[in-house]
Amino acid sequence: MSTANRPISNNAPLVSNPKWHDHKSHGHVVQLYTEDRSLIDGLSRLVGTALIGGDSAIVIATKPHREELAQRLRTRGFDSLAASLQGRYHVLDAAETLAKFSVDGWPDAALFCDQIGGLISRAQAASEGATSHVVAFGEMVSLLWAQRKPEAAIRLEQLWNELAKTHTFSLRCAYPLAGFGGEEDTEPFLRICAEHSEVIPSESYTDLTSEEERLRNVSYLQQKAQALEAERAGRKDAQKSLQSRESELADILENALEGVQQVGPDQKVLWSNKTLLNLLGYSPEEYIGHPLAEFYVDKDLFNNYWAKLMRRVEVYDFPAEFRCKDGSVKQVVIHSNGLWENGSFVHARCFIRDVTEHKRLEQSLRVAEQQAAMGRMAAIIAHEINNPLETVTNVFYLLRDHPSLDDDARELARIANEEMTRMRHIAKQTLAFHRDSESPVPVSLRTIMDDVLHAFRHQIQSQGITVDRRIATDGLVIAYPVELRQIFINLIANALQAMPEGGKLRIHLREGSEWLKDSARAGVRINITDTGAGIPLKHHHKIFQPFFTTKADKGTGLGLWVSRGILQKLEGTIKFRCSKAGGTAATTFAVFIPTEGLSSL
Amino acid sequence: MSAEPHISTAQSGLILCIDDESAGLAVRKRVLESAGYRVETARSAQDGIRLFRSSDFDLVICDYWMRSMNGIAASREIRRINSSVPVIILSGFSQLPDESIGVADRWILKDEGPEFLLDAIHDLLKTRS
Repeated sequence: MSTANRPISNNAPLVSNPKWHDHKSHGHVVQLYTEDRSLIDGLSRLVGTALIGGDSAIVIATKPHREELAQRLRTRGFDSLAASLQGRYHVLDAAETLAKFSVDGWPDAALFCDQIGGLISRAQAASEGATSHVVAFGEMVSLLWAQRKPEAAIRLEQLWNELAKTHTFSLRCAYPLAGFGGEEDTEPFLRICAEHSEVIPSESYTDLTSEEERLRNVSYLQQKAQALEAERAGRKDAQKSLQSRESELADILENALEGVQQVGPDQKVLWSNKTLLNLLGYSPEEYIGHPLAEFYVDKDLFNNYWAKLMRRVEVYDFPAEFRCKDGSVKQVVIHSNGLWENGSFVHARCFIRDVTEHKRLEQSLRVAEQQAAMGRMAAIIAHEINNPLETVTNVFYLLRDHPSLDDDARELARIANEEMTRMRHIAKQTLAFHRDSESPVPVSLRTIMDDVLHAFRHQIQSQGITVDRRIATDGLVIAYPVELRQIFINLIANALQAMPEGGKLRIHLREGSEWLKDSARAGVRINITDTGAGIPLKHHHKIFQPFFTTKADKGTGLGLWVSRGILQKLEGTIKFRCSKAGGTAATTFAVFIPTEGLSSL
Repeated sequence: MSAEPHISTAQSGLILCIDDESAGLAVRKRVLESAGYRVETARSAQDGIRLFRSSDFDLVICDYWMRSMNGIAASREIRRINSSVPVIILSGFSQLPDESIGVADRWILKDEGPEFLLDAIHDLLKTRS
């Protein structure tokens, strides 16, 4: 037989042999089939024809195929047992036989030649016919193909062809057509066909009885191939546009205004977009895969959030605080819900909006509104007090020199007049940012500080307070002197009140720059420190609020609020700290008044 | 506050004093008289303006916050009638309003005390004469 690699259809007429199932004395034929019935039909005719004609037959097949073939031969009244006994009919299991000549899953040429060549020789010797033909059927290649080993299958086909050079037999291979369903199967399929001298199409074609029908069928198949080709191209386009849509959506998510993340059932971050990572300052490795709770400032709040998700509650406008990499805190609002599939939690989707700046503005707006309201109220109170105060002051002014009064009464009027002056002063201090000059003037903080200390000298003495005065500069600033006096009066009065049993009052005045991180403005720094009991932590955030006082009947609660207001106008700052060292508490109010970079006064 | 000593010598001049608070007005009149001034009073801006038209005053003291017409409007009207007479506006507030600029010769806050007011009057009348 010829074993030359022949193109499947180039020269041969398309319908070369209408008797598809007939036995041929030579050649290496491949049969494609859709249903086993069709395979067994052809195989039983091939084997039956050979054996009846006195030739030998070898069948290497799977167990189901062997059993069906035996059944079919019996039905057709053929006694295969006799032929077997004569050594003309050999039936072998495909897998077992394949294993006998395979080394590491690859058909070995020498073993193949030994095993199969020997078998063919024996079968040929036993044949009775004049032609001594041997007909072989094998589906070991089909097994290899089914195991996704196309190269091994092709190799085995080649070994059969090799064997045909030294042995005389005709061979039929069979493959189920369903095994070539993939697009990638086309190339090895063509190579397998090329290893055969003849290809028998599957029964949908071979079952057709007339040539005319078969030509129609070819046209039908051509059209179908064309349609499939077009569909494949369309699918490729669709896939491509799907991919590009997918990457577009991913891009939108990555660059969304809001932070987006997925959190798994183990509470770990599964994925997060760039926006969120940028907001918090983490790299993907520092954030993704970590427990989300790590990034919550308040762990109870996280637990609360998670419990809601687990109850399948849609979390909406949930306020939270996230810890950034640099230690700062971002205030956020979270929208989140869970993805549930078949009753189990898959992941949480979280949309996170940064509201830090918004909150800060809200807070400063609240403070500004509060201050404006307090200012209006202070103005009204001042007006209501100043009017009767002026009248009473004038009355005592007149009484002071009144001729109808004796010396004692006039002295009493004088004292009353002085007290009225004090009242006016207090009203002015606490209720107004009074300006005693039209525009700010150069003022020496040293002079003002000394004036104020002088005014408090009796109180300092009577409380047994020592003053540590370290003044390293004149501290010239541009301001309203009365306003500066107001600040120091408030701060020193507070310090003295904090030390009723004595202590140390430390006053530091020096040139320096602002303590804020991004500011290097030059100016004057004033520290006023007392050794009193200090400010309880719970009051720290309130002490600059108007009407906040711990001094019951002694204070208006306006001193620090007023002082800060004045400093804000001067573009200065005030802050405080409480410390404890060696059993001694110390409270320091630090004031900075800039001398440069002022926008306006 | 002024550093000048309190004026002890008797002053002369006719002052118009306008305020809608009667007690304050009466006592202020006596403070001014104690310094030697002659004083006429009005209980409203309208009355004050009428009075101003009828006599020759050397100076006007007008309260800022009055019910029917405030001190700023009154001062503008008085200056329109005779711009050579100095006007002092008195205010019970602790800060001057934004509209105060250029309206009067002096703004004085009531919490400054009588000496301050008398010094201011003295200054204004001295400049004028």
